[in-house]
Amino acid sequence: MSIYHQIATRIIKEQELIIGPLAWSEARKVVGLKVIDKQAGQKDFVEFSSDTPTESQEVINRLVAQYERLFGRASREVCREVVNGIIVDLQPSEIPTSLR
Amino acid sequence: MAETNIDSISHDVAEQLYKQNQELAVRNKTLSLLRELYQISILTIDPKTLGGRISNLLLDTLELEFVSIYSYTPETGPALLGYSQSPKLKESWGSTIGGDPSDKQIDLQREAVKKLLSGETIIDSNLTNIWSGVNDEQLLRIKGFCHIRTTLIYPLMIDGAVRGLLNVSLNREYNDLSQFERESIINIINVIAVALDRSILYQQIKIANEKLKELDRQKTEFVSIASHQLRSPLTAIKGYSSMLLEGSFGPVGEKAREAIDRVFQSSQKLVLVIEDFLNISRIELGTMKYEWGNVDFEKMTSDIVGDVRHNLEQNGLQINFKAFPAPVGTYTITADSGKISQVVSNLIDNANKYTKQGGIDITLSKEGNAIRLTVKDTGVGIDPTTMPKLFAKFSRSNDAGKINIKGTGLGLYVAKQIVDAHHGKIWAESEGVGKGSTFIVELPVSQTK
Repeated sequence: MSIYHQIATRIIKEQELIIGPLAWSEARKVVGLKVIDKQAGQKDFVEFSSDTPTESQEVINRLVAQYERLFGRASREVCREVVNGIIVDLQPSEIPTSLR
Repeated sequence: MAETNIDSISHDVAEQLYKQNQELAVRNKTLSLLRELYQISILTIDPKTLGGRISNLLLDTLELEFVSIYSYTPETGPALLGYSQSPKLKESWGSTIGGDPSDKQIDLQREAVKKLLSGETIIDSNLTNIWSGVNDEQLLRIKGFCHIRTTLIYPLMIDGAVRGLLNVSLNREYNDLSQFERESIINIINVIAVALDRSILYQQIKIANEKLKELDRQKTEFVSIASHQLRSPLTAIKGYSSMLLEGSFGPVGEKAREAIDRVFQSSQKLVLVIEDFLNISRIELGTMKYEWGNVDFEKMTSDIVGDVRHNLEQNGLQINFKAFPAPVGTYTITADSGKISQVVSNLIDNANKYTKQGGIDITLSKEGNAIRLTVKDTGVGIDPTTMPKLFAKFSRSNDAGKINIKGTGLGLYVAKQIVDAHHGKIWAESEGVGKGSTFIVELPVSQTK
């Protein structure tokens, strides 16, 4: 699982703790992100339509914005906090702008 | 215009609801972590296992780089109980220093760390301020590779004293920790302290118990050796005094005979006491040997009663023995004849000691798959408070002193051990002080050895 997959998954799961299944419904609306209905043996929860880092960063920005549009600034803070431990391995330029 | 207002209000409501739900989510996560900690602390008693499990849980839940838990005493300093590390730390520590961080010690002599002992928490961004025995350059390389930005060390306090330390290293600044992470860390400190204290106490009790068991074994061995050493000269004293009384060395004058008789009687009593001690030693060392065979219990009891009848009658006591009629062989059991005979003799001897008037009734009957021996006397009876410890070592009736009873207090204990080895039961009944006692032994008719 790439680091961007980890970031997207972590954000959706954390939002799920706060807003419930709505977190997955909203994630499905994000362009470039495909939410996978879990089946036995599957590891990933999400797929990106393009695997380039730049496009992946944009998808994550759109995901964060999707929650922010509905629930305001607090939801963006939640997204940032929850990926704090993961983004330390990224160069500043590799971190999606919404999470910087 | 109105539509915009409604949108704005509903957006505000959604935001407020989100914030409240967020708080609830934080509480849920904290409670869930605490619940897991409680479960670990309840189900784990060994301090090292406890330290390892708690470290793993914290590392996984709070996404830390390193967690370690130490016990602490002023005499021994910190002693590592358990730790957990992220794959990145494991890799970098292994390639930079070799081994893993568990080899290294928190250095309580360092200025930055000393304040832990007065109960203060340490929040440090520099690993080199904390660890001893590690090259600073190597530590900085590890710190960079794992992005360790903060190390927190908490004293685990019980009753105002430091009993342990919790060390966590993370890849974020302390100020960047989420609300959940901060609340969790603060909440878990006391839980870990209590679990650790309980676990260390258990360990100390276990060690003390093992020492006591060893001391008890040594004592038993000593008693056994001492008793063996005493028995040989006593046998000589008893044998020669008996020969003197029988005239084997020529006639003995009346006064001398009286003295020699006392020597003989006293040595006889001492032999019985030593035999009790030896039996206890054998039972406790597990070296008591049983020689199993068929025993006619009715005949054996009748013979014992016959042997003591004269003495009892001289003391003004009646003794009666009755076996309830039963087909031939009913009272035959598989037993060690010598030891079971010792049990019966002991019960009759006790009844004799504690009965000043009246008598002793002994009956034998068959009860289901067991035969039952009942020794009932009209003696001093048994105080209900004495009853529970009657068959314990060195236990004697509260009234023993009043009627000048001499004994080691081991007879009933030995009797119970012998009966237990025969898969039987022994117990006592009494309506109280002054109302006599009944001792009952039940032995299985046949048994597989």
